[in-house]
Amino acid sequence: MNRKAWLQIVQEAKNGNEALFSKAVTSNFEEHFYKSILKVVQDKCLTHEIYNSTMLKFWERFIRNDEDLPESNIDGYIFHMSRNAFYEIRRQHNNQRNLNAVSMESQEIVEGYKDIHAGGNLLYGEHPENEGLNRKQILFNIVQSLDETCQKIIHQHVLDGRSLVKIKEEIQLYGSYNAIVQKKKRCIKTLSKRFRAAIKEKKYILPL
Amino acid sequence: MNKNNNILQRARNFDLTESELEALYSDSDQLNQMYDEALVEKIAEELFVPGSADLLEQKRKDIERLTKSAQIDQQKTSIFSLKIIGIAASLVILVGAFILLRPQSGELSKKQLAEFKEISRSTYSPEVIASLERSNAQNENLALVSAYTNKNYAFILSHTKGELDNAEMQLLRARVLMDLKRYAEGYALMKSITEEDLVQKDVYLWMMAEGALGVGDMEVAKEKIKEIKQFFG
Repeated sequence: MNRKAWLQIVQEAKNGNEALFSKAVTSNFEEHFYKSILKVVQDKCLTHEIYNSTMLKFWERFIRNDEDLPESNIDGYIFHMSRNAFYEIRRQHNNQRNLNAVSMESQEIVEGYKDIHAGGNLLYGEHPENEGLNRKQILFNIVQSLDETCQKIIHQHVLDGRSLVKIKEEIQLYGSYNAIVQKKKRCIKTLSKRFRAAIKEKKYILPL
Repeated sequence: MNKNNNILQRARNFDLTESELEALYSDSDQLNQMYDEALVEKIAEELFVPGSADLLEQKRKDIERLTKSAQIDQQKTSIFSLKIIGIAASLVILVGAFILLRPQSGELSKKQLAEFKEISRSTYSPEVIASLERSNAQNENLALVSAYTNKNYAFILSHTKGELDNAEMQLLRARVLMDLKRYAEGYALMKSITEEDLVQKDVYLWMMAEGALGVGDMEVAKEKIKEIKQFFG
């Protein structure tokens, strides 16, 4: 499949029509990648696992996150991504800490945070045997440390489902709709930065 | 692509080169840092983009379903491939028998050689070399794959001159030399390849037999044909 075809597939998917992407996932697997990956790993289940993981990452990056497609041959690039997926999956089989586990871990933390937000549960009840702050507490503290607008975006938009437009009106943010979108991006950046710092300071307790 | 992004970000994007992968996955501190960064990224995403994790999970299931259905087709393809292998194995036996029945002659007809070459060639897959060099727009190996597909042999020969430190690249050059009927050169190159270094071990056997037939080295050809038969059980 040439680059032009991939550009069209990705564009269609971004516009909400993922039929072409689905077709490409299947046909490319049947025609090229099953054989090529199997040749390297010599295991059918692992071949599926690698390709699935690769195409999920492809979708995440180029369709959902709107990254630009590479300039080079896209099928070749997918093969290159699959080599990366192989390393990661091999680690998953041997180690608890991997990208998959991280994804579940993050959901667990955010769900816990939502529970706290909704019910006002005790923040220190998660692992009473631990002396340090637990993950939800860290997140709670960091959110509390963000400016008022960021907190409003999290609480009203994310947790209560209010639209950004309404929040923008309420906080009297000037400029176009993009202003609140940009504000939201800055909030994400600040939260990430503070959480990263908390991890580095080892205030964060890793899951067992 | 995205050469300027840091290595941990590129690792999360499945965008590292072979040497970077090996370095990263043998460094547990770096890996832990990568997972910490990934965790931070996911938490921020979950907090500010409602339902993003559910959407991702849904897509994971979709893709699994798609490739599962492709697997059914693949099984059909496999049956078809088995037939091809069966035919190929029969041809090998025929060619083998022919060689055995022609003591000392050391020659095959052009037609027989062409048939054997066709089987041998069909086993070769150039895509493997594309994985040897990745991650940027200047992946020359991709250009080589494309050149092989388009039979642009001059391009491949000019780009694989001199000492090659990779067995798959040597195999590609040997494949091209044999396609150009330069059997002596191709066979000599094949003999210099360490079989263990190859991903395409079956291809190695076919090409060794093909090269040996091409230069009239019947003993080696017979030996390799036996190995091919053993390879396919």
